[in-house]
Amino acid sequence: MMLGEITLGHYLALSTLLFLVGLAGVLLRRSLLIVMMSLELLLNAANLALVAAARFKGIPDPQVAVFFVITVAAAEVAVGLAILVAIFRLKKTTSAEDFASLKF
Amino acid sequence: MIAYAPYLILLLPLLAAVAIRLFLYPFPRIAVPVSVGACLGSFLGSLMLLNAGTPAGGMAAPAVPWIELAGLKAGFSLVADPLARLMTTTVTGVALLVHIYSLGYLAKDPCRSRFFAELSLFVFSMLGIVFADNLITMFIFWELVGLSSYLLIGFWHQRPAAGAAANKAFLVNRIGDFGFILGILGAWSLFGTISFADLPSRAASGAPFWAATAVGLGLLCGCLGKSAQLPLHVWLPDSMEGPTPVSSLLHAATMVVAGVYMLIRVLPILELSWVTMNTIAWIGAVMTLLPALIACQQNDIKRILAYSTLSEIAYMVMAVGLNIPGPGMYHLVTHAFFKCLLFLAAGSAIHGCHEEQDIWKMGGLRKRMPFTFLVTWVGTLALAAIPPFSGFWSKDAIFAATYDRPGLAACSMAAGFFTSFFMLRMILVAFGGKPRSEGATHAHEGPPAMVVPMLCLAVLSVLGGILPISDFLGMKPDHPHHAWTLWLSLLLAVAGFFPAYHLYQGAMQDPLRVPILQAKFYVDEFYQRGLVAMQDGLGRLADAFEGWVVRGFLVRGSGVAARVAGQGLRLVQCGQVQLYAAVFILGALGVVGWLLGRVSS
Repeated sequence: MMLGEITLGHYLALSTLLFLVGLAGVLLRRSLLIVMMSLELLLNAANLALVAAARFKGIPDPQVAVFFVITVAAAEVAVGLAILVAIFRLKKTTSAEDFASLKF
Repeated sequence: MIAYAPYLILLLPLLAAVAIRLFLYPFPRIAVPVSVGACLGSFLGSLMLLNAGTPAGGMAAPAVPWIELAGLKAGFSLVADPLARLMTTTVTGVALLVHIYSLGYLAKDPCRSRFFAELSLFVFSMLGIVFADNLITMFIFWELVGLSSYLLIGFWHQRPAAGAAANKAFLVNRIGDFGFILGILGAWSLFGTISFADLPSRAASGAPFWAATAVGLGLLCGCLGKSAQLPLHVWLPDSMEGPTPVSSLLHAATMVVAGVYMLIRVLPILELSWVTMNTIAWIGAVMTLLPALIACQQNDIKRILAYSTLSEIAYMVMAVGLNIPGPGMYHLVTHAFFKCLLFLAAGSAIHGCHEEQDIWKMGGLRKRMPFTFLVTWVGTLALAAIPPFSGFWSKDAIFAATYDRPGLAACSMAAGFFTSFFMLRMILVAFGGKPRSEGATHAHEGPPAMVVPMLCLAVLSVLGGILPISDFLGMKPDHPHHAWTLWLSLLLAVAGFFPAYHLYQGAMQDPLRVPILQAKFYVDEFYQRGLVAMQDGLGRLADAFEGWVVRGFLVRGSGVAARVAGQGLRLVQCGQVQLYAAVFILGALGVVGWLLGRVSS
């Protein structure tokens, strides 16, 4: 194995890094817009891992899964942003801390 | 042609009952003759069948295939052997006379359509028992008889006592029937057949002793219920709440002897076990004596006769236990005549005294109702087994078989003494002396419809003794006669008249008071205190269990637990979506870690 060659390990490491960044964004940021962007990051980290595995293992199945993930992500953003817009009109805020009205 | 006669005899009363119930109910003028006519048709058919000669092995009417299971084959066919023919003639004959009597007795009752429909239903069910050629068919008609008995006891359902008596009769019979059906199942599993025709040969090939005993005792249970023997006898005296023709036909002459008839049918099974036979004989012997004692202190004329019926049926049961079915059937037939006569006479006295049943409120009927007085004497002499009346011949044949069983002889002959005693008491109090109530002062004989049946039965009660019944049945020859049983029983029967005459001639009130006899040996109280109280206790226990455990703990408890858990868990909810996400992720990590741990190990 040559030192400069890019292996599956590198891709997986990058994917993990992206995932952790996304996770941190989801858990720590208050603005729901940022939270949703971080969610996209999580999904795409998974996508990266899938396509890398498909490329290095020489099997097509994970690529099919990626298409599904992209579809789901698009749907999620459409619905999520619509909810967000509606909730902003109601509460004049997008901070996650202010949305605790379901608490008993 | 004659082979179909049993079907004709059986179905005519059913047709009458159905026709009355469906179409003729509002027209008693048509309904009543239809019922009487159907009974007349059955009686004529029975006479024809009786005279049709005796082909070997009897003759069975053509069978209709019915139940066909593996191991159980029961066709619906009717058996017309001498036993069935004798029984069916007795049943239809007595039923016909009671139908005619009822024309007079219930002439003014607005519900007489219903009465005659139920009476026809009863005749149909009773004939079904008689003609049944297997135990299953017999059981079905057995239950139908129970139903019609229930309906007829409760005919005057406006009276609470009649409803209670009908219920009691039905429930007590259920206990016996439960044993009966166990016996039927036992017989089926033990002998592989339920057909009366096959039972003797299968039973002769032997069976385990105790299994045969159990089966025999189960079948005996059915007899104890229907024939009102110890300990299930309590319903019969109460059933006297029904109209008197019903008491006469069902609860004296025909239905209650169905148990004896059934025992004779299954005798091949009973014979296998001396335990069963001895149990039957001893129940019979004890039951001849106890009701005779109780009857000495009863004041209701119908109850006196009801207790004497218990005692007389017990003679037949004892005859079965002694393995002499011929004399048992003989006594069954003569008893049907004279007991039916006595009940009809009692009904006539009750009717004449304007529905007064207490003998102490009658009195002086000898002059006002001379015919009823005369036939009551005929019935009494036949019942007390005084020669040459019919009861003497049949009872003597039974006594003759007790010559080597001193215990049985003592019980049954002592019963004869008390029978004479209480019958003379009844006659002296009800018919002698002076009228002791307004009703008795204006007593009068009933219409011809009531007189003629009593006359017929009186003739039969006198002459019934010459019927060659044992020969006709072709059963085992009677026991050789022993002089001492004849003379001793006769002596005791005659002796019973003297103390009764001495005590009750001209008595205005009962000079004897024996509380234990007035209370009928406290059997009803025992059942009330013991069994009914126990049942009530069980009911309360079940109710408490249901209330506290099922409703309280399980149902309400689970609801309360869910609510408390909800109250507790609600404190965990903070409403922060990101905290939930964090918990979710920790959980997911936990699951992933656990899976990895499993893969690596």
